[in-house]
Amino acid sequence: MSGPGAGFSLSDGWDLSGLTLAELWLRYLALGGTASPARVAAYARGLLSPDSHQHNMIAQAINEYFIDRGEDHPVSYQDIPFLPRPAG
Amino acid sequence: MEGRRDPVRQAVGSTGQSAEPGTARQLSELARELQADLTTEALLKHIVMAAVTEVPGAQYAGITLVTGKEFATTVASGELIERIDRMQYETGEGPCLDAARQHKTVRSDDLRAEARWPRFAHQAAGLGVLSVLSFQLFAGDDSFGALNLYATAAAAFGQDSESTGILLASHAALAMTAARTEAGLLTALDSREMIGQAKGILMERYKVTGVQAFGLLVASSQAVNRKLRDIAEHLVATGELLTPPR
Repeated sequence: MSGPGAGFSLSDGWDLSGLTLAELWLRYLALGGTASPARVAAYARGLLSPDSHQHNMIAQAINEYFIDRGEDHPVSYQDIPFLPRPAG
Repeated sequence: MEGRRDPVRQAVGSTGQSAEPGTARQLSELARELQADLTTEALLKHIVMAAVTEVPGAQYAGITLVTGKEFATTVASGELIERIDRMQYETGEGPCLDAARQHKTVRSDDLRAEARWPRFAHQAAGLGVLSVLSFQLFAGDDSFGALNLYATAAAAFGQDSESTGILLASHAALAMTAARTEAGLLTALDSREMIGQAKGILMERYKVTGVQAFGLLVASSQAVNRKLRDIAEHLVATGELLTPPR
């Protein structure tokens, strides 16, 4: 498991993206998220502490905004597993 | 559709060209009735038709959408509108683009003397269109839309044209917002389904939990800088979890 990266926090990444809450939540929903928009906002702003899975779903939702624009993953994840070696 | 009344005809009636005191109420009734049972495209078509009959001075009308680099005149009262809209897009200037990007309402009373968009104005005037009135429908992150009205006479539009046009534009904007929300939700559901399948494959293959399977998809997304849905789709289609080339 890798530790927290040196990237942006959820809150800073969200600000940087300029996504509205509705846009962020729709992206989170598309990844399989089940929390309400209000809870997603509270997680992203640090009013509630998300577990690493919720954190990563919101981070991914924000990061995909940047992937769409040809950029990399600016928001850091928590406890992402190492990729298995490809077979063969 | 058998026996269905034509709601536009019913609301607009045969009252002629000017906006009458009851127009706002009629248009609201029209919008309610239409939203109940018409697709968005059909509704927008009715709104464009109503714009030509109800907005004083309007001879042509159309609704233009721009999404990223994609430009489309979704509904228009005639081929002329598509040509004029395309001129704006090709020259990168014009009332429709200004309305869509910056302002709620943009009006030009004589394109022959229009300094704001010289290239577009010159081309449009060449087609005989002299008056333009554009309303912003919505302005999103990388997409926007506008309702555009045109006339061959100079100074064809007045304050009454603007007030009637704003009513129609707000109905069109509501319909389009609802359609965009619906499209976004459908895309999200499709993506959830694909990601769910991919997680199931990884859970079975590596004997991990759903949370760990999601983590693997994120790790792959980060490693190859592609969206999670693409990673999932590739995995579901080929059985391969994308990793960077060694």
